[in-house]
Amino acid sequence: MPDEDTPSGGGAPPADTAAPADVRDVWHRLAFQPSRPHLVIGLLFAVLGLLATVAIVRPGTDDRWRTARTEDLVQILDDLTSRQQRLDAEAARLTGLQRDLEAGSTVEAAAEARRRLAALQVLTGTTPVSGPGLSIVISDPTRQVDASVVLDAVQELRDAGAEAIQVGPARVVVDSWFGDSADGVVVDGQPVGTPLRIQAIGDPSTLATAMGIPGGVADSVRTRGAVFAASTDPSMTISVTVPESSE
Amino acid sequence: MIAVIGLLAGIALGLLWHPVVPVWAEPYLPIAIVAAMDAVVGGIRALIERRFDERIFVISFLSNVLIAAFLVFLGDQLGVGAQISTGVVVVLAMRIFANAAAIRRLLFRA
Repeated sequence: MPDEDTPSGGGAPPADTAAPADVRDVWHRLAFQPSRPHLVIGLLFAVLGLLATVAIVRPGTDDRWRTARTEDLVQILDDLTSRQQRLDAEAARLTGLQRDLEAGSTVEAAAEARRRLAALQVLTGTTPVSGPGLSIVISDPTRQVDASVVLDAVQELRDAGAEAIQVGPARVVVDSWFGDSADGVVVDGQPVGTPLRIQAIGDPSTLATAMGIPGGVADSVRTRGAVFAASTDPSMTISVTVPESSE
Repeated sequence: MIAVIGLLAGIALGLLWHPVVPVWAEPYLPIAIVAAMDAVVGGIRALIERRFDERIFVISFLSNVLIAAFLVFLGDQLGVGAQISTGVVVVLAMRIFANAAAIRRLLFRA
């Protein structure tokens, strides 16, 4: 470095006096004459000014994140992380569902559908049903038993878990109706006939208990002067079906 | 005087040119500036005490900047970049304040 040769020149005399400088002296010293070491110093200051300017006047890149506090950034990051976890879990669930549906479970799905179909066929009366059940005979020569009593009996049997019920000639399904006519009680427009026979498939003892409760169907029939007789049957068949709707 | 001219020239250059700082250099920029300011304030104090030497100033300026940048680099490598940056800035700021206090005493006797 050629500034070696100006150790005492260049406007920077050695510390000849330890006396405190006064202000005018300092200003005098600041106004040096240009020389090579001064140029180096000037260059350094230029670099400093450049760096400071660059650091302060950043070409605005996303001030939102730059000026956000650390706590806010952490909060934002946490939110994003938890949201990602939720979405990941959702994606995993849907992927598993897709895999189950694609892989082999068509057999299971079909079997489940068939089970539901059988149950619905029983409920809608489109298929014959056999099994243990309760058989009821109501002898009513004076025609005191009207539709309301029959309806009560059907409701009680349903409550007791009867899968299928036949009243007289008709299978009782969801849209069956009972009425009174000159020929006696009618079900779905057909006379029930005498004596009135009701057959119900279900747990026999439960059905019998439902009929025999105090103030229930049996009592109601008897107070009207009719004869109520019920017998459980370990195996009976209701073969009457309702034609399947063509809808 | 030439220092002031250089400073103004650098500021003007920065304002007009808008240089883009590389991402790897961003952590070093503030540290380098503070280190350079430390050297500048030390130089002013030496000037007032009449023992200013250009060679010492230039060397201290450059070495301050380089050492500060190296410390931050080292801290980054060790995983304590933020802490060491804070430490460097604190130490340099303390030196700046000490030198500024000395300048104040020398100039204003206060």
